[in-house]
Amino acid sequence: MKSGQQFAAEGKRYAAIRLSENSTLLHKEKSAMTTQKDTWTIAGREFTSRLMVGTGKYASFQQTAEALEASGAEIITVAVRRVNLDRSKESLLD
Amino acid sequence: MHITLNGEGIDIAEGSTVAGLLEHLQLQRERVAVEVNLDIIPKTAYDSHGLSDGDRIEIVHFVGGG
Repeated sequence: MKSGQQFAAEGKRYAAIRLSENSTLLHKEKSAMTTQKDTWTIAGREFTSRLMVGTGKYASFQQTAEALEASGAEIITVAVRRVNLDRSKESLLD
Repeated sequence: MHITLNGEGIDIAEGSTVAGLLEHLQLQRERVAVEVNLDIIPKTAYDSHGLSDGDRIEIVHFVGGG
């Protein structure tokens, strides 16, 4: 997500900048309204957020989920562990 | 037949599949990823992927971190 100041620093002037619900960057240039798609791609998957968030150190899975949701990140990192073969436990994926 | 599961040798029934192994271990397929002889098995293949004597199997899951 870019701030208005960053846009100004790039030598462009916008009357207004806002983010739509799906994070597609919209900007109003002078009187004309144009839509600029601002995405990036990894391995054929397109993302609108550049934020990657880790999943460690949270107090609970509930808190993890809420923080990730609030961050707007589309990519998170996890650790991979061998399962406990004794029994199936609560999972991060819940 | 004898397989190595997460580094430990165990005996399982002939003709076992990945799905059968997960069921035996009471693991939900949605929660885990399975690797057989270093190849990740797609969840859609769990029912059809038969296990062979000597297979090295890793069953992993995702935890906080990364």
